[in-house]
Amino acid sequence: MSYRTPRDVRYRIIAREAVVLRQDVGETLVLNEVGARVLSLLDLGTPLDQVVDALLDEFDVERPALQTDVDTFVQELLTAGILEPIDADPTVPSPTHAGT
Amino acid sequence: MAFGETFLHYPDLFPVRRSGETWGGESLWVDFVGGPYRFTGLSADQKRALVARFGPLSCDVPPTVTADVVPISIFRVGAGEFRGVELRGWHYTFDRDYGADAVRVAGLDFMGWIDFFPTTRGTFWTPLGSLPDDDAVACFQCQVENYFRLLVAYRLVALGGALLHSAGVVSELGASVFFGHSGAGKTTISRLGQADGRTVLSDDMNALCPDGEGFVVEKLPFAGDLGRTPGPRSRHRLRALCRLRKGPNDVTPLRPASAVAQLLASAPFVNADPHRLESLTDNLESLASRVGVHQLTFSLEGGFWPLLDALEPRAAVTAGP
Amino acid sequence: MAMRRIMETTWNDNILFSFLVELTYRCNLDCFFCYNNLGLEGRPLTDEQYFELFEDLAHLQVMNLTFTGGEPLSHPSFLKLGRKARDLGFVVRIKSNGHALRGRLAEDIRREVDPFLIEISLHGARAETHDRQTRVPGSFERLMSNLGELKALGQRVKLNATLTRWNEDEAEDMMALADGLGMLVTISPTVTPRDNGDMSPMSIAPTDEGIKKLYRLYDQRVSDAEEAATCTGTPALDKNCGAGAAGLAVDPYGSVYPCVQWRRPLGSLHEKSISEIWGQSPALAEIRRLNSAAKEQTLALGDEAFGMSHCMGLSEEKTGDPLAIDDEARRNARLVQEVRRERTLLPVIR
Repeated sequence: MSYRTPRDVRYRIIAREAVVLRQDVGETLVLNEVGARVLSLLDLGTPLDQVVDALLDEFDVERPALQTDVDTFVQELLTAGILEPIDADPTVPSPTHAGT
Repeated sequence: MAFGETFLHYPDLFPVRRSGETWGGESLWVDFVGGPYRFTGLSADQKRALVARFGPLSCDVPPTVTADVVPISIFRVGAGEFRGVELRGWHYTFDRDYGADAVRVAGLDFMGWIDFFPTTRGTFWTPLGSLPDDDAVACFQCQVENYFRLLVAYRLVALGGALLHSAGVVSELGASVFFGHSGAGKTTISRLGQADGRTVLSDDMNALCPDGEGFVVEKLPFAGDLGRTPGPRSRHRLRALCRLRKGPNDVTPLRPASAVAQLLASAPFVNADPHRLESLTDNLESLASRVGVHQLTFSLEGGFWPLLDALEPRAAVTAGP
Repeated sequence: MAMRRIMETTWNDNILFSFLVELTYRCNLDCFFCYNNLGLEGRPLTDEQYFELFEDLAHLQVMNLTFTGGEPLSHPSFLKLGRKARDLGFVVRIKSNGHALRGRLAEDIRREVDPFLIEISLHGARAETHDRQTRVPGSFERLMSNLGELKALGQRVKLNATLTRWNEDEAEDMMALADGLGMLVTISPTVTPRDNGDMSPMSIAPTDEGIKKLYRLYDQRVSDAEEAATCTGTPALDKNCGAGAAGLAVDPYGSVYPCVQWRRPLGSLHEKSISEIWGQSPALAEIRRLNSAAKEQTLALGDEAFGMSHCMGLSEEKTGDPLAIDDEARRNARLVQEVRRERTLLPVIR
């Protein structure tokens, strides 16, 4: 499964954290280092399972726990309107973020 | 249509502040009636194009004159701001918006202001800064000329004179200026004048300005079929001012009211400006009073020049209308 | 809370977060007190140079990109540059006079540039006052109409006003006007000289009483917000402001400055990339040192500094010394403190 940030979301990586703005509602939040990495990998078009693989290389954590945490986190981002599945509306291009 | 809509995609963005980004650091003086005019903010290409256009009237150093300098600032504008105009069958025109202190203009790929206070000054925006070929040079020259002649028309009014759609013909006795509606014979009489050994200033536009003794006519560096070649300043005492009609050769005086009305119709741009119409009318009344206005009916076979040369020039008078 | 930490991080660690672009000094209004240096000349940046700049800024993880001018919409490539900024993921802000923000242009900007915020200048609550400052008859009426259009388009708008001698009696009405439109408004008590040192705008600087009236109004309106801010604490910043630490500005000719107010050149984009200027400019290192010194200086003043907004750019322009606290900053602090004392003398009604 692949995801991207919706059109109204802007984010940047500041000191390894992600500052995220949802323009439509004027809401800002900050994601920690791991969250920032997940968001930027997903927004680069990396499929979710490969995101888990990448994080396993970068952080000292077991796959089952990581998989559960990432799934939960992605659900939270979806609920918060910070991510959307790429299949949602393939006709609408997403802004290209600078990524990491 | 509101001001600018014919020529501009976004008339709301018409610059009000008389500043912006220049095309370069070059400047040029152009000295003729109403001037000297000083262009600033030019690119090297623009300067070359203006030097080619205005010839010996242009120079790099300020002319030694005591008259007010008329500054003309040139700024950049994007070509994308202008609407395309279908040129086939199009009668050249530009939009004008008259204010108490200034006039703004929008035309084919240019826009500008003419300010009157504290003294006359111009501001001009063009998308043509780099002029890679003859076509681009000609387009730039055309833009500047269309704006410049408007500015000069206003400048002449400020100096007590007027720009007249007219033919100016000079003999050793002085200058004769012939005006009238389109087709009245301005170009024809100019050619007949040339054939008679006289000098043609222009068959299109001439500058009339008062001096201590009356009025002088000056050749303008603007387009016309005749007299377009740039030359040095050429000023001549105005001795005859005639409304033209074709017919059997005859010269008759025009009544002052009629004369002023006819002159107004031939004084382009300013005659449509409600804020400056009164000044223009005053100037034309003074012109009619000091020089006198006649109606010349002339034959294509010629033979009318002696009638004109026999007109008694009026004595210099200081009175107004 | 999170944003406070980000502010601390960017200011204290010199992380470029906000960038302001003066696109053009061309303007479709002619405001009496405009601070632009209208005599400035140079070679404007090309569209390609702007694209390169934006890409560099995105790479540096700059979040906020503000377009200003002049009237930024007057730049011939405004929509093209705005689209590029949006595509690179910036939070785009536009500072505009609002005069042309209507019809197709407003729709195009909303759709193609998608700015997070448009900040629009308001000069008074009455047409007579607004038009007197803009020197364009009908500009107030046009602005009111355009604000309605922007609201209908769903565009987030904030109004910015500068308090002047001409509009200081209308501060409350300007706030009411903004309230009626459902828009935020900020009224600054500081009129600044032009960037070329011309002091003529100061001739309409507000009176002491005008400024105090404004502070009283703010007191009434923001007391709740102040309490909330007090609860969360103020940021622990080691600098006086974000100039040269978390923010930079560039003029239409490519000169880079610490901020729009502090016109000390740091380098030219005609000669260096923004990454090079940000990472290597000795002038920028000096700016940061001064910025920290100004902070220490303010802390040393103790209570005397309450309400003092020391703008190093303004101080440098007025006195030649960015660390000198100029008369205007001292006056504003004195007036804030006088209003504060008035408040403590009043009975507290809960």
